Amino acid sequence: MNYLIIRRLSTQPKLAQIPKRWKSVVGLEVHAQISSASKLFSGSGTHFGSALNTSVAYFDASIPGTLPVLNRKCVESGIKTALALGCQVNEVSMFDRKHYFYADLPNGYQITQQRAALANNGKMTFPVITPGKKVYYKSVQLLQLQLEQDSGKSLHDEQLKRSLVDLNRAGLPLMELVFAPDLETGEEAASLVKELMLILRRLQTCSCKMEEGALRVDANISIHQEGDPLGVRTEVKNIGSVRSISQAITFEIHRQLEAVAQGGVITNETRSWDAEHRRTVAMRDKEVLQDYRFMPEPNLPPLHLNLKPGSKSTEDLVSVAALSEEIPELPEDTRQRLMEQYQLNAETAIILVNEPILLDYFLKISKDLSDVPTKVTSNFLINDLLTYCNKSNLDIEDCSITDSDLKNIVKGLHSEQINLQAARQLIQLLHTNPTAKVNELIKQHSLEQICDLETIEALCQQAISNQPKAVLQYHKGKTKALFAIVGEVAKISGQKANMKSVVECLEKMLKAAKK
Amino acid sequence: MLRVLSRRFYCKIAAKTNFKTAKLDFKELRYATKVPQTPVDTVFPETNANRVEIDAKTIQLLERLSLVNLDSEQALATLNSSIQFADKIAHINTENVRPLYTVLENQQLQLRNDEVKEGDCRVELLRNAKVTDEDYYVSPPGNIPLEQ
Repeated sequence: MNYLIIRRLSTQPKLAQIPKRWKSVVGLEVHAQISSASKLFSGSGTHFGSALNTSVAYFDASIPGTLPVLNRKCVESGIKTALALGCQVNEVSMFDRKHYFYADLPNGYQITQQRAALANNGKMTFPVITPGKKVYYKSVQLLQLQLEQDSGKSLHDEQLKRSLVDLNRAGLPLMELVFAPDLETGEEAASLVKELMLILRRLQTCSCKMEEGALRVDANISIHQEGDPLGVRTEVKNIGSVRSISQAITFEIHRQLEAVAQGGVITNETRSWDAEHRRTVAMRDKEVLQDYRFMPEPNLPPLHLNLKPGSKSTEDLVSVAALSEEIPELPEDTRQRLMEQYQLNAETAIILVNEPILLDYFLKISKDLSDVPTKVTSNFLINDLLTYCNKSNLDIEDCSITDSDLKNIVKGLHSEQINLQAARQLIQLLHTNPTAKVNELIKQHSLEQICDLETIEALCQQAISNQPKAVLQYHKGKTKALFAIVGEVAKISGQKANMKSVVECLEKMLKAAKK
Repeated sequence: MLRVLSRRFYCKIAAKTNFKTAKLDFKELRYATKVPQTPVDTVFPETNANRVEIDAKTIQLLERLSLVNLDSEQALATLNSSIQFADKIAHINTENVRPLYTVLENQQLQLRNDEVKEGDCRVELLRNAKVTDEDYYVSPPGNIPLEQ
């Protein structure tokens, strides 16, 4: 009972540690919808949110007499993704039919590539960010990258005991990325997906909008004791966001550990992630092992690609070499470049690469203000701008501050015209009046920093007289008491004093007073 | 007039040339062929001994997977004979022979430009369905998560 109460109160189970000798193994299967104008094998549109059953061609509805014709853009996107993930692209790949009966699969089979996929043996190396722990790099092998069709969408009407089927999604092009079970925790899985999303967005092969169903992640989770072979795995589906990945996997690992601790057995089943109650739930029809009866697709000859270096693409033969030149800088390369060229540390580089808009601001500001140290710019962007957006529940894309405004603020900070508090105020002011100019705002709200030594000395004197207790403690040896006095100066100066000179001045005065 | 004359001339000339040398003699082959000229006797092992017993659970599973009705005796007999027939393939020597998945294996798959050219035929598509509801197809309930 206590366990249930704990579960309801906290977001993560209280059982934080996995008992020694037990290892958890997680393997991900990611389905990424390729951004293309038309579907994989038919000419109907792929626009999200179109009217019911209108983006459906005769082939998608499985009308007899229709045949599949492969979309070149999908092949190119698949190849580009494979190359970016370090895969070996296969010269010949073949399509298969995967048979199963479901209302949203009109054909009764899905065209996929099981035997001979588009690419194999890739690798992804990415930073794992766990709150409270140091960042470390993890490498996961990509077993297979294949092209396949999506099925339609069904809405379950429990009252009337029926399903409503919309075939707009039937036939949409998907890339299935099958990763090896090299992961161990939910955070590692979430970091993998984050990195994958960064890569796919840069390549522009997938929009990665999980809320639109453009990226779907299924996790295979099992536990075993050290030295034993891999345990029975369960599959978790219906994970709707990056945060859910980490939550769902952590929950499932603990559920399995609990079950085994109580003497139970893990069955090979498919479970659904219930985001509302934060738990995985068993799904009905999966008690019996599903046999998909894979069969080569008779309507499609093998797909040939041109692997010769220096070749060009023709109408029916896509050249892999030509596409490899179109791949932009990958996130890991950007991080390395930020660390080497701009002397940023690993954590800062990771945060900047994770937020492309911040990265853009950083690069622009650093280019224009070459005398400002990069650390000042990056600190300001991350600690002040990003924090402001998070606090006000703003997406950084919706923030209306232009990069020239940010440049002026950073310039002001560096030249000590304004201090950090003023900079933060400026951010807020600029967001509410986007047309205002930084210098005008500084004058309007008198945000200039007080650097004048005489004024500072006067303020320090006042603070010392206001805080006799703190002064005594400082003289006793508690140097931290200085900050109480500094805080007093900040208060009386309306947060406008130059903190560096205040501290210097106070230390001088207090040492003089001691004598 | 001139045309008719030239045609008659052509016909006479054509009749005179000897096409007999180009006529195919089907009794004699001109090029080497891999198709054996006399039937090759392939010996398959005694199949009656390899009768596969299929238990009730497998039958149920097969029915579920393929949606084929295997209730009657006749159906079971057909199933058994199909399995025996297909089983013969397993005994063929395929060492050093690459599998052939399609006779079109050397043909390049034709690719299509990424353009929207189809769709917007909802009325015609829904006309095929027996039961529809406000532009949705209606089907019996599917895979729903169990509530614990």
